[in-house]
Amino acid sequence: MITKLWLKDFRNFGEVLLDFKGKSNVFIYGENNQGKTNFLESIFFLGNGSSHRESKNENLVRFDTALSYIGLEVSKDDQKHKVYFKILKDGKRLGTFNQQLLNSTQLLKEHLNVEYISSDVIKTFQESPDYRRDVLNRFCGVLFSEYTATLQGYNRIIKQKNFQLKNIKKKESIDYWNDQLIEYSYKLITMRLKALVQMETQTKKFVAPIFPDFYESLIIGYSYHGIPLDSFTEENYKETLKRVLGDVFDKEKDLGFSIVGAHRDDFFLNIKKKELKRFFSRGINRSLSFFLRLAQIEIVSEQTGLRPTLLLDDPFAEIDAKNKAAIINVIDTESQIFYATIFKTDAQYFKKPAIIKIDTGGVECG
Amino acid sequence: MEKNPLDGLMTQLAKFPGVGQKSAQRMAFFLLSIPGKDVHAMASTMVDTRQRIRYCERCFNISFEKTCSICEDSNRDRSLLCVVSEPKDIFAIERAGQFKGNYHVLGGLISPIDGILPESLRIKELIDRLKSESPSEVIFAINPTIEGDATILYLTKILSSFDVKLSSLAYGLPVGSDMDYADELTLQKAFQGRQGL
Repeated sequence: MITKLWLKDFRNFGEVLLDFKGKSNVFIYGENNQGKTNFLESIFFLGNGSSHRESKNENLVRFDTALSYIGLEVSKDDQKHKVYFKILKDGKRLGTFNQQLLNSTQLLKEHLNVEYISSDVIKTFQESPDYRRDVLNRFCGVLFSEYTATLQGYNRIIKQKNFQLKNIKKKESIDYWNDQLIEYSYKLITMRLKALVQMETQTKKFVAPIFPDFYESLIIGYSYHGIPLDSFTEENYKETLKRVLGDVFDKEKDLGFSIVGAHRDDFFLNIKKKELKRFFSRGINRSLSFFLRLAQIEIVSEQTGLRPTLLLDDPFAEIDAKNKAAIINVIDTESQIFYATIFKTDAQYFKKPAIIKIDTGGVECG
Repeated sequence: MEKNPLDGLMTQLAKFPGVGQKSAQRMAFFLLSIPGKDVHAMASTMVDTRQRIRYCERCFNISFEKTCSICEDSNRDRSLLCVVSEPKDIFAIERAGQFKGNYHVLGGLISPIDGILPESLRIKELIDRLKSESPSEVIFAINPTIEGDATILYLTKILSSFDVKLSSLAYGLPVGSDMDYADELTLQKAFQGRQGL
């Protein structure tokens, strides 16, 4: 649990020192554009060694200063640890963990599990398949140690194959790329399917108390783009993909890029055999996208044994008061929650929260 | 103020792989510290080697002669042909001292991004050698990268019509290393390539 937070010249803040000792819920409210997201960003930075939305230091440091400091105290297993970051406008950033200089984020990841969910969570099923593949790839990358290397290899194959397709002069075989594409695609999808099964099970657990009608029929499935597949077995998938790759060769050559394989696949969430995005309200879309994200965090935290600190940046807009209360109630009470919103009345949904008001970078407790 | 008199030398030295400005400066001062005749010997060896070096007509290894010393060595096993990407790979394999056959240098790996397509490699020459030398086994000693695997897949298909055994080097754990430090893909490959005892 994060017990103290110190900010100095971070974003639009001056100097702020806050004590959250004994408070598992921290409620942050303020009008638009006052610094609520910046506040959550500082905690995310301290937990992950980088911002979730900004890579340039100059935008993280207060406009009239050259550097900023941020720090927090976290208590874990009755021990206190201190994390500090010094962020210089010129691009350098230095982190320490218990006064030991950080060379990687490993130590942070071992002691803090800070996750951020914003109102953008609704995009999961609103955006293009690209967006969802990123969501799935990030999750699988955390869940399976070999996933990232396999994905890098796969992307390299696609890059080489696309380059060759663009420059192909005569009808020549590119099987030496396709054969590798089939192997890597199979490996990636095997891991993705395992991840989706876990996501479905965990999402259902969250959904059950709030939308009991959805529990039985909620399905998270995988779409094989352009591949007619009734069941996923190694032999079936590899043979089908090989045949399809042969069939689409001329089309791929005309287009100059590869059109089948794991890089084109997608996943979906259906309820009662109906697609979430097309047949359900934005409120339901938002709730289920939130639960899906929360399910990923839960699965990872079960794997690491480290309860997450949740930074919730107004993810419940468009959700009615009854469901909002129910959703907040479902979130694990063992996790520390920082909840930022424009609605002061949302504080009623939390048990004895620390209340923080943010007004033009000024922070007021009470 | 006078321009740094070592600038020109350092610019040239920094062209060596792995040499940055600091190392280039250290090398430049080293050259100033040793006798002039040694510097001259170094420079003339560089120029002489560069001018005289050529590719072996048979295997495309580097050599001062028409054919390299390995191809000339009658004690080597002509029935084994090891296909490598670059001449430097031959040096690495020769250091190990295990392989006593002959080599064939492809001159790269298939990589369309870098403009290297199968026709850019010395594959026609490899086929000619298979016809004229009839080795019993062709061993691919090629880096286990996406491009390396693509090259092996391509060659396997091309050479499958020949009566020759095709093999590639095993993947696995480096000798004397700790399994803890092996990456996941290497461990996967090591399991796939496990051997009965």
